[in-house]
Amino acid sequence: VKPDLWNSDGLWEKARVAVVRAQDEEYDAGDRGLWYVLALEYLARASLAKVHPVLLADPQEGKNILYAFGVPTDRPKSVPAKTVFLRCQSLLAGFTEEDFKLSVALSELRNEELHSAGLPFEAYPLRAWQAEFYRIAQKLCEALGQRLVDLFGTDEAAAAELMLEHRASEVLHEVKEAISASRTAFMALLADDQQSRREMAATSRLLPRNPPTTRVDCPACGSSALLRGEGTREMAATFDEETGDVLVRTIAVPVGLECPACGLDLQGHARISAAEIGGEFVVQSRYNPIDYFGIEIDPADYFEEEYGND
Amino acid sequence: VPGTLANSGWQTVAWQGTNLTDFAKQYGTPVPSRAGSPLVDVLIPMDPEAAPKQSLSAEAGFSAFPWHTDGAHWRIPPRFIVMRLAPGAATLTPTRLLTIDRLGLGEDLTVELRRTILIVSSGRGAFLAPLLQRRPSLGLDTIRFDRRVMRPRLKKSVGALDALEESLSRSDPEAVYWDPGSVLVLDNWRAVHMRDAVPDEERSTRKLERVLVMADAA
Repeated sequence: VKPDLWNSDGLWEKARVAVVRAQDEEYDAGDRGLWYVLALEYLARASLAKVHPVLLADPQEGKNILYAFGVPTDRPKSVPAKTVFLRCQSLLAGFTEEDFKLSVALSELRNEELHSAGLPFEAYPLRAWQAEFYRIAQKLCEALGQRLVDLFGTDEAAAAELMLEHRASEVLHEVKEAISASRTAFMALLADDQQSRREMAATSRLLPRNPPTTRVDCPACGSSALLRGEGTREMAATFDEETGDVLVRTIAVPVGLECPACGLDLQGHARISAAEIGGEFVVQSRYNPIDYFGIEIDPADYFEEEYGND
Repeated sequence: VPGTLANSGWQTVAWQGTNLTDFAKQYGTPVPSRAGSPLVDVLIPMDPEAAPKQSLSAEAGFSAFPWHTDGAHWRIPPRFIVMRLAPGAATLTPTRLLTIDRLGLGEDLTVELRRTILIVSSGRGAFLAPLLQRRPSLGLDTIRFDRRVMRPRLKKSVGALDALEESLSRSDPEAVYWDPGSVLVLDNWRAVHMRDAVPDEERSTRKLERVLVMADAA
């Protein structure tokens, strides 16, 4: 007999429900982070339960251990999140001390969210830990015999893979040197020249879609640099009641940064991430609803003979 | 799993023994459909009033049954269903089968259905389970499907469920007609099945025997 409450399959499905809940939130809402942290804990508990449910039992009371072996038990108590992640580190291949520390830090955000009036996910938003979250999620999926696409769906899994290709830490030194070299070169220019380059950068063209692009402060010279994205996915379209436009928000993983002013050029998400601007960004496009939905309107469809009270 | 069954998800085998459980054993461990029931269920068309409250007959009666898998309310549904015409019975009403991997659901809908998480609830404690489950060891997806005991956990899954129903209604299922002396073996993880409406004159003659079989661990 398997203990229903500490059933690996059931915990995995709960993790998937939490991910869908996260995906349903507004992109920059703190709740998105909260749902992801809940998903992380379900994944970790599912992974331990897959090894053996007794790994979830609070050892302080013997009845909890017995429950893990199928003995009917009144309200069995499971171990807290910190213990769960510690056991993951001991038992799961590839789950490092670094993963443990981040997982515990994230579950502390969850505690602050649930137990206080504070807004921890505002101070520490998803975009600051998204790549690391995907990295841990991938390891836990592996332990469960699952894939990222099973957890996140096709689009978000593709974005996650992009983020996971290389680690920011592997290219950190190279990126610091590139930023420092661009900054030195920019500083060596005459003040007038700097000014005209800054203006040129500020007016360089933005391509809102395909590929989506946004502006960020250049990490070297502080001018307006262009950040290019990939792995895009669109959020559900919304309607702007004031203007009557359809608003489409596209999420993208930053994969390229070019600064027209100082010439800094960083390619690949790992390099962008090493420059600490690796979180996903959102581009908003406005469409006329008639164009967006491909509505064809023939005025004749709306013509009605005048009512004559006859 | 014998060849034909592995390829198509079902097969018929000539067999005339007395106890269907003896035949079913070669596929795994026979289990009763309800706690305390005999291993061999005798399925007869029933008036909704007379049928057990928790049954398909209670809902559909003599009308056509909806597409379903058996034991969809179990944490691990039975792998095989072994069925035959009961001795002395007769029916022209076929049972229809559809193997899910041959339904042509397409990549997008398949991904959606794998992410369609169900609350499976049958009065004996609810649990979560996916509608389609990727099974790398089998090299295919398996299905759990019985609208009477499941509902989507997330509102957004309703669309995928409707698309599946739509696909089932447009499909071209296999019809199995019941002859004495042959046994149907159905892979209940891969195929959904249903029964056509039973005409008045068959209400007392249509009688099938069924054994549910759990797969033995490999």
